[in-house]
Amino acid sequence: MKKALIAIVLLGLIAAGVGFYMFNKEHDETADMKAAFSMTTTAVIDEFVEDEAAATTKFNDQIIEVSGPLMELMKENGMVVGLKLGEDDLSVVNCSMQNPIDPAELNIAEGQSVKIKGVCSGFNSSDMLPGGDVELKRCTLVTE
Amino acid sequence: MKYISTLTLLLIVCMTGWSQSTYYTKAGYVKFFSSTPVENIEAENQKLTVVLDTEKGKLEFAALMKSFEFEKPLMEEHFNENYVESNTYPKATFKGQIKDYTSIDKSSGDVTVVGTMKMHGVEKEITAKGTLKETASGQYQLDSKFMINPEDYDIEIPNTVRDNIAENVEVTVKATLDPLKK
Repeated sequence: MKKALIAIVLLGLIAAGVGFYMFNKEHDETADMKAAFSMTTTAVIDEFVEDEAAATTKFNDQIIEVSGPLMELMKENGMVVGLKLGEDDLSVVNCSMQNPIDPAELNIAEGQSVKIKGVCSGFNSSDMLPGGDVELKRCTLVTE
Repeated sequence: MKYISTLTLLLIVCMTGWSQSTYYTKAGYVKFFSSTPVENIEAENQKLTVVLDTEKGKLEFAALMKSFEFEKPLMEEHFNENYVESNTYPKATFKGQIKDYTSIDKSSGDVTVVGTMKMHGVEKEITAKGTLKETASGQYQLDSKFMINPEDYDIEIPNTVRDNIAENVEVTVKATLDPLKK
């Protein structure tokens, strides 16, 4: 009887521990993860434009490595929090960084090719604009 | 010859007229914030598409649900899988009209926008207040804060976490719009 009670208490503690761990678990660092796809900005945008539903099923929640020309750095409080890759401002790969980057540490000029990886969240567009964007979150720069 | 040049001129006027009346960004900021005595939950999305037609006073937002980022992965997972079901309903959109657009007070920039919010497959008419100001650099700055009720969009909150999620969620929008050059 006593043994059973101890077992129940122990199980309860383990369950609470697992629950607490799961709740407080941080996001995985994209930098430590392997990309499921590696492609150019044009190729990934084209796949979404051609068949949005199929591309969404294929890429959403997957880590994609994308290379293409840097279009714009998005800054907040002087730190780089996002970047846009592509050649046409109306069709870009739109990335938010997992960790803000000090612009002084970034040696990339606009138009220069960069490689980033991040978690794909889909394709966004508006009825009032032509084109559309592939969105990636928790991105990190890939340096080789 | 004269006819062609007139036509060309007309075409150019039309094109510039169109481009000058459309302002947009793909890097708008949207945050939602739910506050209860139990906990505060917030998520940010810095990839909001905002388009403004300055001629008609039409305004449109488009956001991917999966681009909302939460501090904790478990919250993000629950939000996408259990609440907004983002695999089935990947986008939230708002299509609206600025009220009394031709007579808005340019110094305060105060605007009221009436339109349809579509989220989780449900359309609802909403009214939001905010400011819209033309900047010295030829951009438009848009700021707004409004409340939405998840239940209006058939987003079911399970009883077990009913106390953790506010009945009215505060939405903050900030965007700097550039003229469309095309």
